Amino acid sequence: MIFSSHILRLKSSASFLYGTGLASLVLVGILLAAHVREVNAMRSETVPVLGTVSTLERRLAVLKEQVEVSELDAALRMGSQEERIRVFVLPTKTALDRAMAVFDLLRDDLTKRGLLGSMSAIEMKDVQTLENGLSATPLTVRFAVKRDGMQDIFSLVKLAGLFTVGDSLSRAEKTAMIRATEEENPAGVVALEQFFAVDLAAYGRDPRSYEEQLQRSFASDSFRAMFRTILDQSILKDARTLFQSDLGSAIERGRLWPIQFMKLDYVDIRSGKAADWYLVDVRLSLLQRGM
Amino acid sequence: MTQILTLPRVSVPGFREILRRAALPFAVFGFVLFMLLALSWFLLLPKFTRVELHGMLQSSSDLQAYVQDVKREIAKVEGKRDALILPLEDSSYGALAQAKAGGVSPADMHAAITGTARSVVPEQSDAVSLTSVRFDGSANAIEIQGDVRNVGLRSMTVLASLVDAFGALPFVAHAEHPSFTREKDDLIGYHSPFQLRLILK
Repeated sequence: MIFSSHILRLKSSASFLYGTGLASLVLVGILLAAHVREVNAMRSETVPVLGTVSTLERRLAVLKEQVEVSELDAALRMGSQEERIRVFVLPTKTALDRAMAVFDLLRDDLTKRGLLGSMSAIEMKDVQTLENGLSATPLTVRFAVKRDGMQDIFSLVKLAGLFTVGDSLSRAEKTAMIRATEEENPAGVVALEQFFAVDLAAYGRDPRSYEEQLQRSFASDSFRAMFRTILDQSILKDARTLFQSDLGSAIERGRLWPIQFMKLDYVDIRSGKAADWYLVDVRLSLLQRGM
Repeated sequence: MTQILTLPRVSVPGFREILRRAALPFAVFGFVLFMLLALSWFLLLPKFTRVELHGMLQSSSDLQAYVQDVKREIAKVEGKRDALILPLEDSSYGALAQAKAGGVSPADMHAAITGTARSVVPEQSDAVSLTSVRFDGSANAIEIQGDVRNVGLRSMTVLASLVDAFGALPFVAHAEHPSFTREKDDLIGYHSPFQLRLILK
């Protein structure tokens, strides 16, 4: 009896020890896997992330500095821009006299330069409601023009409704310039802000002074190269051409700038009877606020 | 007198006895290894896997959470700065101006299309005659009507090359295939009139 209980104790003791050993080894396996995971995370995530922290913190500090210096300048000009857009660019009622005066000046200029054969009557339809609280007055007109004349017509339509230098640049172009200020001269954001706010007609008349004013804040070759590319590829090129021409001067003299927003809906270009002459049917919308 | 020497009997332990004797070392080995790894997890590993940031040790997850916070803050401040520099960017006027600033002038597109038509057969600039080029702003598309002629039986092949060339223009997202046909005219010989549509970017 004593002998058999001794055997039983020995057996249960060995089972307990084996159980403890196995449980420990299972935990060892889990801990080893956790070690491997932690070291891998360190190598693949923590180290690269740590490298970006200082860059991100520096960028945040630069952005905060730019917000501080921009706040005062923005407060001063915001009101006047909105007012002129409300009155001239997106009025509550289409100013037909101003729109017709622009087409009159365009016709005179193209005729004087021998680029316009004929221009049809301008047909206007009733106001149509659009989305975003806007409405449009559709307008159709036909031109018989040379290629250069066609270029001038579309250039004027494109500029109609744009008001500042900033409006004439694409989002990508503006973002590239703003990011360049962060890298080169954070305080220069004020000069950029002022450049974007320059009236397009004033810039077109005297582009060099505004460009030089901005470039004084950014001296690097990379910024100058990017700036030059943007100046040559954006609508600013059309603005320079228009406002250094007789047509641009006439528009300014007639106090027709800024022009009401024109949106090109449809264009049909057909070859004319003579070489380099085209028949151009244009349907565009004069945009206004509300109905 | 002869003495018979007998070797003492050596008892060979059975398998069960071996298992019984190995139980304790096995348990001790497992437990000690576990304790060592636990010590490493709590004391040693943090020394090698935590990084110091602003005078405090941070784990990988803490660091990533911090970086996400900084990125969120950057996006917020950047939005505020952009709104100050370009105050009308998010207004309906800003959207209209953006649509103009990003677009290509119909005159430039027409010049590119006629230039492509002239150069599709290098040795014959009058192989493609364009009747009309229509820009539809609402559909963001261009419809072109024309005719491939003066290239004999190759007119349909030239038309296919023309479609490919139009599709490769930088402002074109997709060139829809026209109907390919070849007709014979007493005056101009074999020709392929076409009407195709280019979807703009």
